[in-house]
Amino acid sequence: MKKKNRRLENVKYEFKHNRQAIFAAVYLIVIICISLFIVFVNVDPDAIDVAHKLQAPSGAHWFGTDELGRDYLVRVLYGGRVSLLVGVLAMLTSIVIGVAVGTISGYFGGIIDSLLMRLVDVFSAVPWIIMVTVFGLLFKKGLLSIIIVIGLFSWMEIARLVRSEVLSAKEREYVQYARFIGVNPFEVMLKHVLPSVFPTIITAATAAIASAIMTESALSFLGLGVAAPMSSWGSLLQSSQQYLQKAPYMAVLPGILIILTVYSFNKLGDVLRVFVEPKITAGEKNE
Amino acid sequence: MLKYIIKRILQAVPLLLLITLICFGLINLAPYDAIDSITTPDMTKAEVEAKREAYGLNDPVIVQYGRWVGNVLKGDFGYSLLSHTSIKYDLKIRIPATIKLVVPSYLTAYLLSIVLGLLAGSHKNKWPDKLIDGMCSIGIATPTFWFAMIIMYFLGYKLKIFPLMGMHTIGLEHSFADFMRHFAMPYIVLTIGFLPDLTRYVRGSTISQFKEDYVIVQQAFGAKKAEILFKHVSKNVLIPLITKLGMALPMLVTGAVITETIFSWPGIGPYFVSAIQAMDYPIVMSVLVLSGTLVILGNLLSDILYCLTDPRIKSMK
Amino acid sequence: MNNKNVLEVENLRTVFKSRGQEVQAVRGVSLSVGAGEIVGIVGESGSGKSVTMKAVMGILPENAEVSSDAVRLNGTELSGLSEDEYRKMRGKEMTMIFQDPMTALNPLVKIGRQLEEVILRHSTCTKTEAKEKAVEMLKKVGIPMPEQRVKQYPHEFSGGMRQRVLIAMALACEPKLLIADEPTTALDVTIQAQTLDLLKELEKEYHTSIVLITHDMGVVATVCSRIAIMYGGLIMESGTSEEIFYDPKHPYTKALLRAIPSLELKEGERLQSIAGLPPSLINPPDGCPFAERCEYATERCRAEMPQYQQFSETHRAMCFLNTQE
Repeated sequence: MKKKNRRLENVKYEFKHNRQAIFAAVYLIVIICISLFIVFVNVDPDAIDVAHKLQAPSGAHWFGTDELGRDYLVRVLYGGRVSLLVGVLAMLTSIVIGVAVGTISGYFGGIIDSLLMRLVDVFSAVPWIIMVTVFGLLFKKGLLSIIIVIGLFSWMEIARLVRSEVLSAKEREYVQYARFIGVNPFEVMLKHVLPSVFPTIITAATAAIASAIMTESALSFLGLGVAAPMSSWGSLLQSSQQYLQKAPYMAVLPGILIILTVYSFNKLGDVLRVFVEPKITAGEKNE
Repeated sequence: MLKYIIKRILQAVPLLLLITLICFGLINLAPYDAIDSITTPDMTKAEVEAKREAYGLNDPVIVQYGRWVGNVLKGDFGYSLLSHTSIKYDLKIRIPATIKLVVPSYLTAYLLSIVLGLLAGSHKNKWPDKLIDGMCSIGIATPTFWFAMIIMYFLGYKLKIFPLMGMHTIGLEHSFADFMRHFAMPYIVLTIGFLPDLTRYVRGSTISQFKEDYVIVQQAFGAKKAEILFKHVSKNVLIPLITKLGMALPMLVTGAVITETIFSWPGIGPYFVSAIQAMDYPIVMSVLVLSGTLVILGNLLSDILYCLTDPRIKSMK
Repeated sequence: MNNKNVLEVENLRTVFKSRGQEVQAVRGVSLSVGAGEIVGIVGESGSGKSVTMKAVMGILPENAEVSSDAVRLNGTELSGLSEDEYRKMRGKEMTMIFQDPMTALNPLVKIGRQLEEVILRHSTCTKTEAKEKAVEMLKKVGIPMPEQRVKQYPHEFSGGMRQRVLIAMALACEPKLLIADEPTTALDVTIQAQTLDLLKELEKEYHTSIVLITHDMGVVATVCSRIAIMYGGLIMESGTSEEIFYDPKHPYTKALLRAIPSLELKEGERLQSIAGLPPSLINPPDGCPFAERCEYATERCRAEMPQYQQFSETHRAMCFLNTQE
């Protein structure tokens, strides 16, 4: 118990003394709140006003209007809902797969373990852009398939972490004891393993959200991800590309929001890592 | 050591087979009939059936797989569904274009990352480190295509220094100066794209090497910080870094998909992306087999490089 | 003070700061090492023995704050030196070898080069001379076929051999003071004895003073002329080997002596371990750090820090027990 408190203290200390971490936390709270509550604000992201298309930022439209005269700020904030949603759901997908593969692999060992680990090797070896696009072909286009495809290609690290945690838990006495007295050791282990990998998963999760948002934006930019009428930061950037010369401001806002969001999730992960590995300082990886 | 390398090569063979099996499985899973690439819409049913028989598409899947692997081994990747051109021929033109862009960018980023990573890692938590690490954090969070658009806007549209797309101006295919002007923007974008990850890696391993016992021993023997960095730490950082070169092998094909697409660089990138958009399966599968193979060869290469450079493994024979 | 002392440390303190917490690793240590003397510092891990000597060397990590009334090496005050002047003292005037010889050498640099580098740094000889000297030093520390061995990498040496290489490196510059931090802990028992013998021989040949840091009373018994017992960042007792072994004054020393395995142990007799754990150095107790584990401890021990009691010119202990006598 005492040790745990110390870890929490470390994280609190990092948050208090690391200005980037404070910034990341505040930014994420703000952007998530905006994404959650913007539907209650009386603005329509699809209100077309062709008379005022491609207008530069002004008092009426802080970030200008797009090619159909829609308010760009509102569109970008609505786009953020999609980007964040993809990020979070893809992260959940990858955690579910990662925990399942890691637990099975670590628990059963032997041939199952080596087969699954080879699978992890193959998945982490082939360039993501190839894998994601190829698998994207097998699914119908749509938000759900983007989420699944991204999730399918980001679970490997989590599987490795969970597996090693399971392997060490298997050796612990209470698990051996459970096996001895005939309680299902798998159940016992899950009960004890999952709490102990929880901090590791949380840390991996923040990084997974960041990379899912990046992947989604790249896919959408290539025209392989979120498609009209829905829009995300990536697809907004894709359409802004055609108007780069006339309306460069359209490229600015979604790009900056992607950078800030990804940066903040990564920073958050760095700080939380202090909880998992108390000896390191934030931003340092043990490679 | 030769034995070890041979063993590694033998281990790579089943992995390569696995890759081809996955690719072939995907072709067969995909809602696409291989016959479409050979036939034209005006053929009659009987003609199509004859073709089907002639190309062996009625054979058992395992026979088809064997033939497909055989063809790929001979360098025959089949034909595009849309243009009916030979994929082998297309790749022959496009891969060199990608290499021309990726190799200089990767090498520049590689060398820069060594300098920046050692500088940051040896000044942990001081201002050079904070600056470099901060830039890396932002760099990692920046989508390549967004950075490309910004560069394009300023250097292309505003200042008009560089042409916006392509590799050559038509009519100037043999002018090196013209090539360099086209090359500049994608090169900058790609270099900056590779840089943060590599720098982070070098910085991280520099920091962990500085925690090694031999560093404090060297301090106890009165070594200057610069001596420790250049004579001891850098060696231990750079040798594992050499293996990164091997791992980068697949980049020769897929290292610049996004950048190439934005700048219409006539490499694999736009070819692959348009194939995906048009569901041109044979092309997609060829690129997949190619990059999968390069991944395995790259891992093999990095193992061999490691063997050749690290005395600890060298002497294990 | 005695001018023949190679090292004089007065009231040395070290605090580590990390994430707003302070760890008081060393809380006022004074000791001296005479010329050609082997002094042992004994203590459990975390007692501050290594930190004390690393502070003397000036090689603690950046989050350590060292303060002292004096740290003199051959009469030179070290604490005021610039970073560069301090560095020049290391290797040439004083040097340190460490616990784990397996990781102490750079794995990617040949043994010969690592030796030559140290030799060249602190003398004016040429490269060829340095090469010869490297071979000669390896021969001196008892490494067979040194001409071939210099061309090898550290992983081609056993642990004991690597510790010999490090001792050769340390002595190549003929320092006045050699600090050996648990030099035998990571080695097999027979190799331990050989290494200790080697240190003793070299002390005779080079008149190098040696500070031997260890947790093993058996090790200090065989080589040290004087011993300091450390606990909780403080020296509990110090004296000559005879005084410590035959007339220990501090309960901690006595407990340590009881914990030494001995052949004379009779059947049914058990080795006595010391119950309890060392105190936390984050908020160290006001009183004697050993009070919590001491069988003789009184209220006063817990509330008040005892002063040193002098028993002879060389022997003193920090305990209330003997005050009343």
